[in-house]
Amino acid sequence: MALAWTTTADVDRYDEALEAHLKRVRMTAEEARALDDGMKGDAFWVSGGLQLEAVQRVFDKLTVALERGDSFEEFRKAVLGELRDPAYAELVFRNATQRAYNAGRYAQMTEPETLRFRPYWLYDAILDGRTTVICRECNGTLLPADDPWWNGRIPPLHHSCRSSLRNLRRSEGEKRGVTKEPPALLPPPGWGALPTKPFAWRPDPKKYEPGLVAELNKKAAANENQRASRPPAEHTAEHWEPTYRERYGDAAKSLAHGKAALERGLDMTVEDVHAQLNKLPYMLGTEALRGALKGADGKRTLRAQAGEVDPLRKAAAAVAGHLQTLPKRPKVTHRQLVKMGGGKRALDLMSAITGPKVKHAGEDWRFGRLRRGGYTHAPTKEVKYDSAEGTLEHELCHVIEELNPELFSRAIAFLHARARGEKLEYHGKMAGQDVYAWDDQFLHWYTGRKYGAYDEPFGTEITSTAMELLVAGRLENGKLSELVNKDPEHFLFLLGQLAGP
Amino acid sequence: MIWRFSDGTVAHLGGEIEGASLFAQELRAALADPPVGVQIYGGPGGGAWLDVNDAALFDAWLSQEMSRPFRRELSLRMTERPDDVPELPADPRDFSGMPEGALV
Repeated sequence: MALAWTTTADVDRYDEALEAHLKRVRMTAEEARALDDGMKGDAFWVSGGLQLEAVQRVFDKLTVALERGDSFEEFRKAVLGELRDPAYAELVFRNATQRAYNAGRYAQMTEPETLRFRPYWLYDAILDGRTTVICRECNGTLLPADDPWWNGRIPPLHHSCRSSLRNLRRSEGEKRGVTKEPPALLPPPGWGALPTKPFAWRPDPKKYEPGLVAELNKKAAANENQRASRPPAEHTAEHWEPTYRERYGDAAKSLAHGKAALERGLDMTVEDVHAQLNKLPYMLGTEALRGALKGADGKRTLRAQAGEVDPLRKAAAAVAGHLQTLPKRPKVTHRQLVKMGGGKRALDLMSAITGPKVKHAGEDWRFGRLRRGGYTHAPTKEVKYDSAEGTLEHELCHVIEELNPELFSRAIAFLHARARGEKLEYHGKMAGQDVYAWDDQFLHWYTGRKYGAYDEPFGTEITSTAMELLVAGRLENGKLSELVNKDPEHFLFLLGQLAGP
Repeated sequence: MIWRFSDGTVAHLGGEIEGASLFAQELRAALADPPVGVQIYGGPGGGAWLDVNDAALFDAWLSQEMSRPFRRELSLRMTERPDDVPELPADPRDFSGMPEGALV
């Protein structure tokens, strides 16, 4: 049997299920029996007199199964030493995977952005001969996400429960109508509790024996330090490219690089993340990223501290992961710098943040200043820019797209993927050239532009606008924090563009 | 000068935002973290920092925030807009020397 879900293009959904699994505190059945029902959901134990070491082994094998999407048969073979009864092994497997899946879904559905757009929840049971009374009764219940009815009825509601929650858009929820009289049935003790936030688990010292409290606290603390690093494969772009290929086509390579960089960064200690960010001391955007790391334990990885929860910490991890494995490229010569007039900023951009195969403006390009704004004219190899943070780098990204056809075609693919097959709209002319745009899927309308004849474009704003924000942190055109929060894929795409072909 | 929105948000020139909706809360949060950008003409140098006492900029900022793609599901509309909102300033950039085919 395959897992209840498969790895999909929505990779974060899979991450959150795994995260929910990993935060469960391993303990013996005897310890678990002493807990009250509200706490049992965050505990993991196995009946049958297993000692803690064996419980941990079963847990680790479940983790591997979740990470790889193993079938139950594969899991069963792996735990033959600990769980000899196949029926019981299946129960453990189904309960753990379903609990992880639903907790992951819950984490997703309770994100403020998601709640805003999908404020209704629907209880969705599989109706067949195996459906329990409570799931049959609850099936179809539709209520606002903040309705207290959900407290105590978050699936799984019992052993081998196959029910799940669906979140609905406001319009769909209103069209279907909320359930006037939701069923009053409650699940058995220990089931249906709201999943807690990561690492919130701590036994109440007033409720339990001091010895047990001390032991459980020790395990919970150890748990916080044991967030598993991702397997090496997930640190590579090759692993992620198929995930993005269907939606983003040729842009998948850049997105996959960004995603792999993020996974690497999350597995770096905070100190190492800082060390990487310090390679870019003159970029104000990295100041914002460093600021987001305040309060984090420098000796531990960001993943161990649920770093993936905070968008700016994720961005810091992604930039650090990008820089960590970037092969060194030749330093920009002093002569080039003088010609560019960009000083340290240009040095940072060209020497530290781009891969060795990325072609940049050479010494045959002319750089000049403008009082305000900037432009790039490829035919005459001319770049003009003002003194504002990010303008030069914005223009240099136009140059990069000009000189690196592979990166340009990825930017075009990204833009068209966002338009989901619709034709871009004609937006008149700029500097004598046609402008087409799809401005409805980006942080700001300007990002969705492409220049030139429809089928023979020569420029976009995809790479340039994201780079400008990374350099400056905050501009009249937006904030880096907004980009990484509202459009993280665009940010990851930028890193892939900088890594190069 | 007052701007009203379909979700009950009311914005006053000077930066006061009334209302309990998500949109109103986010507008207040943005104003509490200055400087706030207004993208007017697009591209480097084509925007302006918001001055909440400048009716043209405040109007442009409210329109910009109302129509952000990630707020589309809120179906926001401006239901009342002052009649005497001044014109936005001209593009401050001088592109007179910009050659044909240049990218901004």
